[in-house]
Amino acid sequence: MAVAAATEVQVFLNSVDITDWVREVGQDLERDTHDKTNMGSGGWREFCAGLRGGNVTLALNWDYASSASFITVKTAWLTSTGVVAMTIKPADTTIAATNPELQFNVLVNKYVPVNAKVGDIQVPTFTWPITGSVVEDTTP
Amino acid sequence: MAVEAIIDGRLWVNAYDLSGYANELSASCEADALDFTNFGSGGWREYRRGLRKLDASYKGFLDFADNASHEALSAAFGSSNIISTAVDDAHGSDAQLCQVQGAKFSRPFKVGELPTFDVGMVGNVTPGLVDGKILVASGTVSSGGSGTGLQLGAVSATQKIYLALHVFACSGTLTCTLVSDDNSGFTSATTRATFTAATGQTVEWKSVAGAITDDYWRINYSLPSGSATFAVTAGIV
Repeated sequence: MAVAAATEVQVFLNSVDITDWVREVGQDLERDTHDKTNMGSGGWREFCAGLRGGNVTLALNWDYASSASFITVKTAWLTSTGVVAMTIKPADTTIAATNPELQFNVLVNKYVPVNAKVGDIQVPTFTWPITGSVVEDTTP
Repeated sequence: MAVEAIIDGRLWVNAYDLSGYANELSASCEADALDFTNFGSGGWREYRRGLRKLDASYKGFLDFADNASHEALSAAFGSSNIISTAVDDAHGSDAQLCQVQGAKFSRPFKVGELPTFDVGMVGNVTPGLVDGKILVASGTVSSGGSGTGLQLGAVSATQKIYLALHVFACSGTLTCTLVSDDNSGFTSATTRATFTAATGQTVEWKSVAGAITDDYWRINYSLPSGSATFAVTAGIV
C-alpha cells in the first residue's frame, strides 16, 4: 500500500462498526524513558525504555439514531468498567501486512451527550487512554 | 435522527426558557483514569475507571430585561439548578436533563458588540446527566388536557425514570401528572407521580423507581383557569 489519503479507515468500538461516523481517528503511543546516564556514558545521555501506553483520539459525527454514534459511545460509557475493545484498520479490506489492524482496549472515560453550536453539526472529540497492550494484527 | 445541523436547540434553565439567547450547549461526562499498571501488565499501562463527573457549559447572548437571560443566569450562578437541553424543539426529540451547581458565569462587555454569557455548571446529584426525550414540548395551554404519549421504555428494578418540569409562566394553577401504560392509547393508564401544583414560574425534578413494565409515558395536566407555558423532559437510567 503506497502513501494514500485516509478515506476508508475502519473503526470498531465495543464490537460496533462506527466507521460511518468517524471524521478523525488517531492513536498516540509513547514509551517511558528513564535516564541511566552515568560516568561511563561518554558525555552523552543514555536512556532505557520503560512502560508503554498511549491514547486514542476520535472525532465523530454525532447521530442520535439507533445503532449510531451516540448510542454506541453511551453504551461503552455505561459498561460496568468502562473498558471496551477498539480496532482501527487503515483500509476497509482484508487484514494484511499492508493493512494491519490495531487491536486494543480503551477506557471510555469521557462521554459527551451534547455539544451543539447553532447551525453546526455536532462533532464531539474524545481522547481515551489505552489500557493494556496494542496488537498489530497482520494475519487475515 | 441522522447527522444534522443543530438549528432549533433548546436550553431550559430552571423556570426560564433561554433558547432564544443560547448559541452553544455542551454537556460532558468524564471519569478519572486510575493507573492499575502492575507486573502482570506485560509492559503496558493499564487503567481502571474512577470517579465520574458532569460538566455542562452554555454560551449565548445577555438580555437584561425582566425574565430574560441575565436574570436567569445570575440567579443560577452559585445555586443548584435543574437544566434541560435538547437538539430540537419537538415532542420526542433527544434531550438531556440534569441537576447542576452553578460554577462559572462570565459576562464580558466589549464596545460595539453584543454582550454575551459563558456559563459553567457541574453535576451535584446522582445520577448526573440523564439522556432522555422531550415529553412535553414547550407550549402554552389555557385548559387541562393530556400530552402526547411517548414510548420511552420500561423501567427495570434497578432503574428510575427522571423528569424535569419547567414552568415558564403560569397565571392559574397547573398540576401535572405522570402516567404510564402498556399501549399508546393509554386505555388503562397508571398514575406514577404528581408534580407540585404550580401557580407561577417554577421548576421541579421528579424520579420514580422501577420495576415498571409499562413502556408508554405521558403527562396529563389540569388547569382550571388562566394559562400556563411549560415543558417536560424525561429519561430512564
